[in-house]
Amino acid sequence: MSGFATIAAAWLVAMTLIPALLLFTAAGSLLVELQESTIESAKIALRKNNYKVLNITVIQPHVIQFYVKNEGPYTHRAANFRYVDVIITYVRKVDGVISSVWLAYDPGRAKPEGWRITAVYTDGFAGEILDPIDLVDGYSGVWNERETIEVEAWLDDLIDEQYPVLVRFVGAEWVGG
Amino acid sequence: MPTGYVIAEAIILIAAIVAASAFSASVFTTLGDLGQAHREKIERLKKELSIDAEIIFATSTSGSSEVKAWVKNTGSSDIHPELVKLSDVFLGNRSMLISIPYQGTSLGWTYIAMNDVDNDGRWDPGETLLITITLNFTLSAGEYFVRFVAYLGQRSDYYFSI
Repeated sequence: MSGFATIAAAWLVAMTLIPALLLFTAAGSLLVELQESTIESAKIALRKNNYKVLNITVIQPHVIQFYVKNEGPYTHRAANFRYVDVIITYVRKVDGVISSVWLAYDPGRAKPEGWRITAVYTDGFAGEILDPIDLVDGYSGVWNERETIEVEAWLDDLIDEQYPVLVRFVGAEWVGG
Repeated sequence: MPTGYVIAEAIILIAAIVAASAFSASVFTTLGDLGQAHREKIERLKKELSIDAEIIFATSTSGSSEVKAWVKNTGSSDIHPELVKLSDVFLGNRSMLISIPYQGTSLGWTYIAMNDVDNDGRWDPGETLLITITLNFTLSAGEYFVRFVAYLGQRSDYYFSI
């Protein structure tokens, strides 16, 4: 093969190999990017925590008290209680209608309907050893695994105490931080 | 080397360069298009993965023409109110499945934010919407389900009975 033909062959090979290399590199980086997104979504999906609602009692005609235990595996920042859903299902005393109401976190009890934390227990002992929740402020501290919060929820309606009251508690583990 | 060979090789070289240039230009163009298409696809997949919503509770009563459902943003992206309106809401049971239009006159759904924590008007992760479905008939006792489909297709079902 002459010099010209060798150069031409080398040129052709280079023009085939360079795009192929570029293609593989680009495809590789795109795949890594997608994988990172998938892992992030899976992490969010797996972030689901376990809560147990205990001892729901009507302590006043429009106030109920219940306990929620954080069964883990995640901790819950007090600042994120704003994202927690508390839905109470009860029978209205005035007309006997079954009602469900979503309550907002309201540590200062300023709203006509809401919920707040009145105490925290750790394995049956009053108080917390780790990251205590400021019950007055309501937005600092951490609700750790195995800790139980005592919740007070107040409604606009009077509750018919002859019927059970149900509580749906959904945590805010989807919120970062 | 005879002159004829030199001319022939020069012609072959020129032809090879022209062919290689044309080939590489077409390959690079295709590669660029392919890369762009991949980037768009990845962006869309990333967006789809970051959007998710879950119905956490739904309820109604026998004889009522209203269903309430609380839907939580369980994804990692916030959702603009205009995109919330693009969600699909269905109500069904064993014998029917109704598509509920947003803000329909006699049959429709509306929503309000229960906890817009940062007051930005957007549906942020962890925030909950109350969806109220108004029907043009009353519900009788039985099992029903509500289906919420977010604007990119992520869906959540919730069964309840009255």
